[in-house]
Amino acid sequence: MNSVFSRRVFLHAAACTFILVQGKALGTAGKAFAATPKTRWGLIVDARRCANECAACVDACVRENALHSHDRPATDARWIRKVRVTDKTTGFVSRFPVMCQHCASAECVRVCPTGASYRREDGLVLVNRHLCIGCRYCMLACPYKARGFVHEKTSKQAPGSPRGMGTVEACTLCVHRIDAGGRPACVEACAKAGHGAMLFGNFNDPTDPLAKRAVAFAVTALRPELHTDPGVRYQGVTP
Amino acid sequence: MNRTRISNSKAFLVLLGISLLLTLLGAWAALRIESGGHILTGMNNSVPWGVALTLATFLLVAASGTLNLASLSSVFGREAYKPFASFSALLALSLLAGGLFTLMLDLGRPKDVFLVLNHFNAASVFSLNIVIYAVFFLLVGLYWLLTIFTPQGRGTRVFGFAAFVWRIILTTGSGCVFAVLAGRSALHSALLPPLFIALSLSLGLAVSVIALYKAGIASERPFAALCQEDTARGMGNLLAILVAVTFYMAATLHLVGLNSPPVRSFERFVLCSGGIFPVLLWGGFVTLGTLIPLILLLVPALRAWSLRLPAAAGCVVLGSFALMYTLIITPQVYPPEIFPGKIVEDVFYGTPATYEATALEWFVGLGGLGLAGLLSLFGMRVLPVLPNRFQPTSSQ
Repeated sequence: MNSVFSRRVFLHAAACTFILVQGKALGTAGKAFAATPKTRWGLIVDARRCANECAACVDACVRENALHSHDRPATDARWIRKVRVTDKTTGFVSRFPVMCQHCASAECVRVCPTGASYRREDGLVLVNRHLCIGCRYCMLACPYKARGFVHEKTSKQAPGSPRGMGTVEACTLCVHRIDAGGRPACVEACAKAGHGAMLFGNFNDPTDPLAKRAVAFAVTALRPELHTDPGVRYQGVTP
Repeated sequence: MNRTRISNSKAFLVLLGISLLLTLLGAWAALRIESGGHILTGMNNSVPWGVALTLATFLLVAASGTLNLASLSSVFGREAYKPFASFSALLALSLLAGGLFTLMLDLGRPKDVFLVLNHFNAASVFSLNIVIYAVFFLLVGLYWLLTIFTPQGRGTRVFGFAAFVWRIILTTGSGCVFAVLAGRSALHSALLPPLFIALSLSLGLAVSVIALYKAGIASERPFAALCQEDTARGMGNLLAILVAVTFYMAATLHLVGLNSPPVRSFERFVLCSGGIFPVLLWGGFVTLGTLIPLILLLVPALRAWSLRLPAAAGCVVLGSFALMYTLIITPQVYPPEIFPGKIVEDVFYGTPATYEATALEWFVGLGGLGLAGLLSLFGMRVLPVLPNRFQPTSSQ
């Protein structure tokens, strides 16, 4: 019993140290957040500000989560993809990134046989790699085709993004950064590139810039007919 | 007793050897994939369920359908089919085991499959199906033992009826795995579970006929010694009806899809422009799996041909696989309608995906077929399961 207790204490201390070190490394104030229902983390992507030929968000995600390419696009891990869509009638072109939409009513969570796909109290939809048996049903169920499967062995993993061959994964909204009080890497890279097309924040806090923008402007969800209530909303995109 | 064991003939040993080889190949392929990753398969992030899962579903649907002969005697009181009840139940159990074997081997982490029991998600159709399969094993297993060990068939009607109800639930569950996916318009249809039931009835009967024919070869007895001429004709007529019903259900699914705006472009893809998929649908399912069997079974001039029934059954099996392949793979290959009315310039989201199954993937799929063969042959060898020179009856 003692040894179990010691191990638990050790793991707890290690986790706390990791979070603090991460927070410091990210340049945040080290203010850690606990997942609570008071928070609904989300993103607003402003397609009007998403620049042509810019892939800063995609590159940042690859770097942050160590999603090394094997030059096999069909199986390579990509948690965020930039698309360019043209309206067939009007010819209006918009560009924006698509990633896990962190739905409140997530299909992946509903269909997962082991509960490996789960939704945290703060709205983040994640995969517990220890419970994932690799059935890939969630990939089929995701209306946004946002999930990927780890098809081959991984190497040089990022400390904040554990990955495992034979399991399913998707954008975590950089949960390790959020828990350390930071922002997702894609959002930071977009701001750094001078576009500011991605806004991260808490939908449940009326004083948060994200919530203010959601109230002030028409932000839309992808595939609203499915009632998934996504945590990622778009500005300048018509569904 | 009008049943017998299969003999230890050369043909039996050859069939046993082939089944064992397929099973071992399946297990070996799964080990290779587990150590090297699913990169060794043709699956990718657009097509996460490939030919192995298709074959697993095919076997599970066939398992439900092979109970046809047992249901005819135990539920519908057709005495002529009573000698086939035990054989029918053994086939159902073997095919279910084979299907689950492939389903398990196809997982990213097959060793962790028991997590489904420890961390059960009751909202998941996938989890519910595990329960449905377990109950099916129990009911059909008990029914099978009763058909063998109670000479008067006591209790077989009760368990036969329970198994009949449960097989409908099982096939509905298998269809629902796909039908509940609201995000995939091409699959999200209430017609899919009934189509799976119709398919299981026709495919299951066809598999039973082929298995009976192979058992005849293995036991070095003519087909007529296992199945009386009148019964064979009855099976042929029933197969023709079930093939027609399956075709009707599949045609209805596609006709409704063609008239449904969110699915219309997908239907054009699967029916006309989708490369291999229209070929499989029209050539495999419609021509090979429907028209040819109907001609073989219904044209009076062909009645004299002794291989008419097994030939038609073989065509039905191949055609059913073609249908299953198009039902499961095509909606994954076709890009999802995330941006309706828009041209999407992205390979992942805007263009049809590519999928070519590798040999390892086929081995995993066929491993289940091998196990089903192995179990059914073993069962027929150790227990009196095979019908034998049964007497003609007037109640057909």
